[in-house]
Parts: sequence; structure tokens; C-alpha cells
Amino acid sequence: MNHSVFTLAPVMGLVAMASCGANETPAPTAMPFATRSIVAPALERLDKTIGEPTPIPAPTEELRDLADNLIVFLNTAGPGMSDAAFDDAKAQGDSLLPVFAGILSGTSNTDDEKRAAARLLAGVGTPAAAQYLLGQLESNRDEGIRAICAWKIGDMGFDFVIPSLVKRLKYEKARSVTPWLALSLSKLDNFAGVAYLITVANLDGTDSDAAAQLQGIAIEAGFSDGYALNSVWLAGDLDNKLPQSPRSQRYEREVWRLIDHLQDFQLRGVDDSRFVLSSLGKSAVPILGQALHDESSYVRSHVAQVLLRMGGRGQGAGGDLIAGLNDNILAPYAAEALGAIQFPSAESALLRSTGVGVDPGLRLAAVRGLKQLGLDSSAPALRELLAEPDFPELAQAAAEALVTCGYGDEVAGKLLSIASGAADSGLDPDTSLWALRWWVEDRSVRGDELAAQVTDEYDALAPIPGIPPTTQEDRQRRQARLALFSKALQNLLEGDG
Amino acid sequence: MQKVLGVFVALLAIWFLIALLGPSGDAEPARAWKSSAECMDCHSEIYAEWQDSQHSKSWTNPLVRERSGDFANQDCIDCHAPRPVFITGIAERVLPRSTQRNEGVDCLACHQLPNHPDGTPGGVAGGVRNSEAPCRPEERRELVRPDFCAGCHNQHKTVDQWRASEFATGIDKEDCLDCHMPWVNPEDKATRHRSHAFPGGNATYMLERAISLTGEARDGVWYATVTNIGAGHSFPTDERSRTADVFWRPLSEDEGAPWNHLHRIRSPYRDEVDVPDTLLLSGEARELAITSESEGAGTAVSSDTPIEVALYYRRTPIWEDLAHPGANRGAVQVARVELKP
Repeated sequence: MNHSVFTLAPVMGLVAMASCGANETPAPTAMPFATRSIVAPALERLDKTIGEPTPIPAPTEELRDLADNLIVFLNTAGPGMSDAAFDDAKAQGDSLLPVFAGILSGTSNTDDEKRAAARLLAGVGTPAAAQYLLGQLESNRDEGIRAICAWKIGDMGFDFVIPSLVKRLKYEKARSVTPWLALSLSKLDNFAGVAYLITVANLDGTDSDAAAQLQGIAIEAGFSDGYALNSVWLAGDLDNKLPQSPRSQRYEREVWRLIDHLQDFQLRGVDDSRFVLSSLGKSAVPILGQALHDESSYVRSHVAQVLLRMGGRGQGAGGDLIAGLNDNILAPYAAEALGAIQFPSAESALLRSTGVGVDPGLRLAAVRGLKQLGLDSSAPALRELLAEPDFPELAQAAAEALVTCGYGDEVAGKLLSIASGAADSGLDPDTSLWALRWWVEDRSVRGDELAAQVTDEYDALAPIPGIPPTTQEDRQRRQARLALFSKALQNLLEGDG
Repeated sequence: MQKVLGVFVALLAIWFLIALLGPSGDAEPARAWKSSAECMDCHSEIYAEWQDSQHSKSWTNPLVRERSGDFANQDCIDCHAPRPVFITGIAERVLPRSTQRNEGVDCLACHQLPNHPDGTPGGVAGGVRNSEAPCRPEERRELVRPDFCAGCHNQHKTVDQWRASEFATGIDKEDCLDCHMPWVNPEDKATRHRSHAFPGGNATYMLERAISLTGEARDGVWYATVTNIGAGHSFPTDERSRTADVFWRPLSEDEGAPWNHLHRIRSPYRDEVDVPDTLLLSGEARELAITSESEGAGTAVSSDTPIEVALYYRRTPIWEDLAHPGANRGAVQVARVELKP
């Protein structure tokens, strides 16, 4: 037996308990983080308020004939007469929807007939009709039909389609469809499609339909061009320049449903939800803020990731994220998100989270958050972390953060040294190389010609897109970039004068 | 006085009991572990195996870096730098961690136990309990169960594929560890351990063990049959970028002669809505008519023509040179058969 009756363990334990924490930095705040069931009750409440959709009876022969007649009429009537077909479709309501959907997915109708059916489907104008259009956008293999559905759905004015349209942005490959998705989204005051439209417009040229649509969306939203609009959207619209309609309960329910999917086991649904939620406007942020307190650790952590990807648009959840620094699971995600959303009062909370005694994951994430904030006032604390003896990864992150805080000249040599010795120290050399790349680009923007040259040479070493490099090529590229910085560093620093 | 003495005796008795029944020996509590490198001193052989494994490269592998945009696609981080499975929950989905991402799927991802309720480190899980070892391993049988791998490896249904296979339901059951963590030094009790090299699609011998390729002439034309004989899950499995393609060409002395693509075995990416899932289930034999064009199109190739058929495996679905599969980087010829009249 290995036990000793003479052990001093109990006494030592008492001594240890008495002295515990004497030299530790306290946790971010003493306030405990309370969680509760939030997503499920929210969905239950909204389901109850909105109610179940009314079942649509199977179409009669009479309805089929009417649909056929409306299609023929729409395809043959003059421009001024087509309204009559839409009026008739609207008067019939949802009962026509299965008929039009059947025509769209069948094989017996011509392309012209199918396109007319798609337009008439939109013309029914009900929430159920919008759902049918979404179904066609998901499943119809004819990109012409998908383009009509994407075009028409924005005119119907139902904001609950926004999440589904954003998801289509992720998966739609047809360049004839994406611009219409972007247009419809913009009509519903969501501008996630503008970046996609810019890509298509660049590919198709300045005379293209996509370029014209881009310009139209920008002017409608009060901007001179699509780039200006996109910049404001990506930066979070902090000055509230973008139009924002109040959102419906159906929209709110769709947001909660996406949040609910963050608990899925399969990451496929989780990834989709993260993408869609992070592409929504500010109106979704209060809902996300509530969800940060849900009992599911998956919901809490993934919602923080969503806010991180939202950037400035997520600022409305800053208070909830700061509270989340007291939750073991959520804290590191919350810390990085606070930096990414540029929450004005995040700095002090993040600085406290970098202290000795705080969980290492949170300390590191807090430094990454400070890196995103890039505030001059964080520099003294970050400098102290450079000398962390037992946590080289934290020191590396602090050096990288000092670059974005404006002190790249001060730490460039250290970053080069870290990247060069990373193989022995177990650190990731690439993050330090990226920080150095950021530093030279920042200098080049401010007119440093040598820095511009180094930036270009660094980028020229990038692997060919689409062809994964071998491990050896990867190593050689890293060595070449290290050599590039080694050679230029002294001149860069001296040039700074 | 008697009361004071009684209290003293009672305290002495409590102290005695704590010392006798409490943690053993020097009773130093489990410490907090930060990095896989800390495991190296005592477990150098296992550490070296792991360093050569794909688990250790899940963050640094150039293919992953390229596919994820240097992890700008943060969705990939969950499985490529996961928090410890014992913390997120066995058979539950993993969550991404903040520290030591460079170590990928590290020692702690599988072995670190959650902290105790009082916040003290929970130690590590191992195959046996050992209160003398510096890491104080607790015996946790969950480590050997397929559910343990499921958090990451069932994202593409690999564990479900296994559950539906003869490997899980048959008489001679084999699970994840039997193939992917085989015993090292099985006869030597002192050094015997499960391999932490995790051989899989990265090891040619594993690919060769998984697949058989045969052929025959019937009704004047050639047929090839590719069979998943050795994998307890679909072939390929897991990452959707993994691809197996079957090629054929007339038999000749010219090693550089072009190949004809015959059939692709792969699960599509989520945005490839028109691409069928053609993974070869465990035990499945798939007969392919040899035709002049891919996937049965074109004309059947006469069995009067001597041909060779080969299966190539790659970890990326894009062939730069489809006519010369062996010339594409990373392509491995897994099986080849000559068919002569």
C-alpha cells in the first residue's frame, strides 16, 4: 500500500486553500452567467402566434384548366393585358399553387409555359406562394425558372424569405440567378447579395445586366455605387445609412429556427445556419443576443461565432457578449466576437480577460479580440504579455495584436524571430507571417515604396489557386517569405526614420 | 477537558481516514495540461506515431489550408482543432478550441478529462489507471468505442456506415481501433500499445487492403468489378474531397499511353446538387461495363482488345490531367488488373 498515515496532505490542503488565488487576477467579473431554455420557448410562442398554414386541397380538374388558360393568356396577351391573368391568379389564392408547382416540376410543358407558371405563382401573392417559390429556387434544375423565382419573390414583400434567399446565395452557381437573388434581398433591405453581384458584374463587364442591377440597387439604397453600399454593409452600417424595415414575426421565427439548427449534430446544417445568420441585418441581432443565454452550449458558442462574422452589424449584442465572458464554454468565442464587432466598451473587459489566472483559452481569445479592436490604448498591456514565459502562444498573439494596434515596427523583428523558430517552439509560423504581411501592407498604404514592393513579392509567392501545394512546397514558400522579410526588415525599419 | 480531547481524537481519526482512503501516495493532484508536447517526455514512441499521423497535421496540412482558405472558412476549425471530446461529450459534436490549434487533433482532444466541479484539473483518460504516473491517467473504456470517434468522423456518416456494415453486425466484429489503431508490440506487455499513427486513406497499404479490382469478358465485351472488401465503412469515406476513380486503356508497352476515365467513386460536396453519391459501401461489389466514355457512355469495349484497368485514389476531386492519372500530385494507384482475351 502506498498510503502514508504521516502524510501532511490535509494540512497542506488547508494551507493551499487559504493561500489560493493570492496572486491571481480575478475573473472578468464576479457575476455568474445564467443560462436557460430560450430557443425552444421562443419558437413555441411564435408557432402559436403565427399558426399552422392552412392545408391546400388537391387540385381539381377545373383548377387545372384555369391554370392552363391563365398560362396561355399570359403568353399571348399584350403587355397591358397580363395584369388580368395575375388578378385572376390572385383571386383564386393558394388553391392554384400545387397546380403551378406541378407544371414547373413536370416534363410535359414547354419552357414558355413553365416561365409563365412561375410568374403566376408569384402573382398569387400569399405567404404560401412565397414558400412555393422558395421550393422552386431550391430544387428546379432550370436556371431560367430559378431566375424568375428569384426575381419575383422580392416584389412580394415577405421578409421571412430573406434567410432562404441568403442560403441560396451560398449554393446558387448560375450567374443568371445570383443577381436576381441580390436584387430581391435588397428590396427587403438585406444587402448580403451585393458582394455577389459585384463579383458577377466584374466577370460580365460594365455593360452587363448585373452591373446595371448593382447600380440600381445602390441608387435605390441612397448610394453612389455598389462598392460604397457594400462597404457600409460590411462595416456594419454604424451610422444607420441603410434602409431598415421593421421585421415580421414570421421573419423572427425563421431566425429562431436557424438558431435552433446550431444544435444539430451534422455540421452541414450548422454551417448553413452560421452563414445565413451572419448575413442578416441588424434586426436579427437582438434575437442573437438573447440566444447567447440559451442552455445549449452549441447555441451559445455558435451564436458568438455568428456575431464575429457579422462584424459591426453585431454591435447590438456587445453587452450580452461581455456577460458571456463569465461562461466557461462561451467565453473564448465571445472574446473574439467582441473584437470583431468593434464593440466600443469591449477593451477593458478583454484586457481583464488576458490576466494571469484566467483560463488560457480565454486569455488567448481575448488577445485576439484586442487584435481585432486594434486600439492604441491596449498596447501597454499587450507589451507585458510579450514576456509571458510559460505561454509562448499568448506572447505570439500579443505581438501580432500590437501590429494592428499600430506598433508593427516595434514587434516586426520579434514576429520574424517567432516565425523562423516556430518549428522548434511548436508555434504556428503562418499567423506571424500574416501579421508581418499586414504590417507591410499598412505601411505601403501610407506611401512606403519598399513596403509595397515587399507586399507584392510576398503575394507573388502564393500557391496557384485550386492546386493544393505539397508539404515540401508549403515549407519552401514559407522559407522564401521568411527570407523576404529577413532581407527587407532592416531597411524597412530604417526607412521609417 | 474531556470534550477537547474528544474533538482532538475525532480530528485525528478523520485525518487518519483521509490519509488511508484518499488519493494515493504523494497524492499530488492531477495538473492542467496545455499541449501535446508535454506528453512527449514519457510517451515518446506514441508521440512520434501521432506526429506522423494525419491527426497531428489536421491544422497544418497544406491541402486543408488550401481548401479552407487558411481556415478563413472557420467552419472547418470545429474538427481540425477540437476541444477535448470528454469535455464536449462522447458521441456529441465537437467544438473548436482557441489554444494550440497548430497541434490539430492533439493528445488532449482525446485524453483530457473535464475539470472537477471545484475547478481543479480533471487529469487524463487512458487505457489503465495509474496513480504513479505524472499524468495520473484514469481508466476510461469510452476511449475504445466507435462513439468516441463519432463527434468528428460521423460528420460524413463514417461511423453510421460502419454500424450498417458486416464489421459491426457480423460474427467477427471489427471496430475503428482494430484497423486504425492496431496494436504495436502486441507480445510485449511493457511496450504494447495502440498505434497512434492512425493509418487510413493516407496509407497505401490500407487502401490496397480495402479494394479489389477484377475483370472478365462476357458477351464479347469487358466488365470490371470493384469491391470494397476491407473497409468497415464506405470507400472512400469521411472528407468529401476524397475520390477514387477507375480508368482503363488498351494494354501496351507505352507507359505514357493515355487512360480513359470509366467511373468515379465519391460523395459530392454540399453545393454539387447534381452530382450523385457513388461511395462504395462496405462489402459492395460494383460491376462496370468498360465503355469508351465515362460512366457507361459511348460504346462497349470489345473483349478482343487486351486492356488494363486501374483504380486511383486522391484526396482532391479535381484531376489536372485526367488522361494520365498517375501524373497528378498525390494520386495513388490502389489496384490494377490486366484483361486479356
